[in-house]
Amino acid sequence: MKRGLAAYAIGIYGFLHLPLLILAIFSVNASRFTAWQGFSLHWYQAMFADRDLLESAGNSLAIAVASTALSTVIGTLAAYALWKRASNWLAGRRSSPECRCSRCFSGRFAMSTFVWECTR
Amino acid sequence: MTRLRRIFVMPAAILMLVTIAVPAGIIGVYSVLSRGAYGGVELPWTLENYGRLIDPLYGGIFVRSFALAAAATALCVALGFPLALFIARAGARKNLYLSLVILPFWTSFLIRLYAWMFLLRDTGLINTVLQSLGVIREPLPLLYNDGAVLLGLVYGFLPFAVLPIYATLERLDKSLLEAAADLGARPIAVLTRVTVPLCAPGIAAAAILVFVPSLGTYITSDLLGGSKTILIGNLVQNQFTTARDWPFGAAVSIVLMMVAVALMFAVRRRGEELL
Repeated sequence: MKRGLAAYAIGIYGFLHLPLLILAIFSVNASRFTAWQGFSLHWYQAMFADRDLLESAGNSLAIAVASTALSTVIGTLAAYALWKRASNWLAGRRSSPECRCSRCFSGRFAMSTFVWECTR
Repeated sequence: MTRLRRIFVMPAAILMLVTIAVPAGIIGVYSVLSRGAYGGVELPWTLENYGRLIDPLYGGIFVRSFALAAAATALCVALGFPLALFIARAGARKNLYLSLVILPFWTSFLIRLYAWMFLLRDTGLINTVLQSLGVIREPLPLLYNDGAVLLGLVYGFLPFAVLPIYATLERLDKSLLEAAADLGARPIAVLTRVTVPLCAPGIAAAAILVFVPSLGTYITSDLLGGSKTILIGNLVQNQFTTARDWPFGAAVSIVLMMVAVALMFAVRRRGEELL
């Protein structure tokens, strides 16, 4: 059963990551079509030569940094205020210290939201 | 101390009020007004926008959206549970495997959908490879159908199902599983009759976290579904853009929101600790 579960996990991780991996591989394809025509950094050159694109990337980054800073400050204050409250309408009922889910997700989720903001 | 806490919570409370409650209120008001000639809203007040929802055309859209969201939810929970089990039993590498679930979030959902378009379209990788191997002559119609939308939803929301299920599995009392095994239950019976029932809160939370965004999705159906697949999210989007019928779009949004809230309350007791 253990081996079956591991094989299954490999399959699901493949499903989650292969599409992006393939996209990344084809970003260094010389051709603009699906056929592989050899390695080339042509598209990356084109990207860094595109002023409009760089400008929008800069805008995205500025907005992401600002919103991350703001929400971290506001969120930290609120989290402190709601800390160890037995009952609260913002935190939800029964938010006991045993609620470990928040601990194990928070850091990674914060990182994810940053990237999320950055790329939306 | 209490006063300090009250001050600390204010910015978040105000932010939530201004960015969630106020817009929802505006949508609510729009939904009972009349349609403006060039978009926007006008007096008089009316309930006609809600009445129009009874039209079988829209009923069909609602049914299709529900069916797709339900299928995506069932698939995400069914696919996510074994993975959550795998991670919970992984020991020292738990954190690595958990990160691998969250890693896709570090890329824009839009780009991840484009990645699937690159794989699925007529000239995409799958069809190109199959054709060059001589397996098929004509490209398979993989993109622009309900199946592709379902795939996109499952792909996008699977991590939302894995995480809450993992959280409940992780803090499951192991002695209960040992007791079941000691009393003669086979591993499969321990899984189906002890682990899964004890995991009900996590499964309920997972189902809500997948179902609600699936029901309101518009970008997935827009990119992977083509013009045939109209879901509630696309209906709302169309009313506010091309159709210029803001009140009707608002009424559809309100109904969608009420469904989501009703579902939240329905499973609140079970998934409470995690939502």
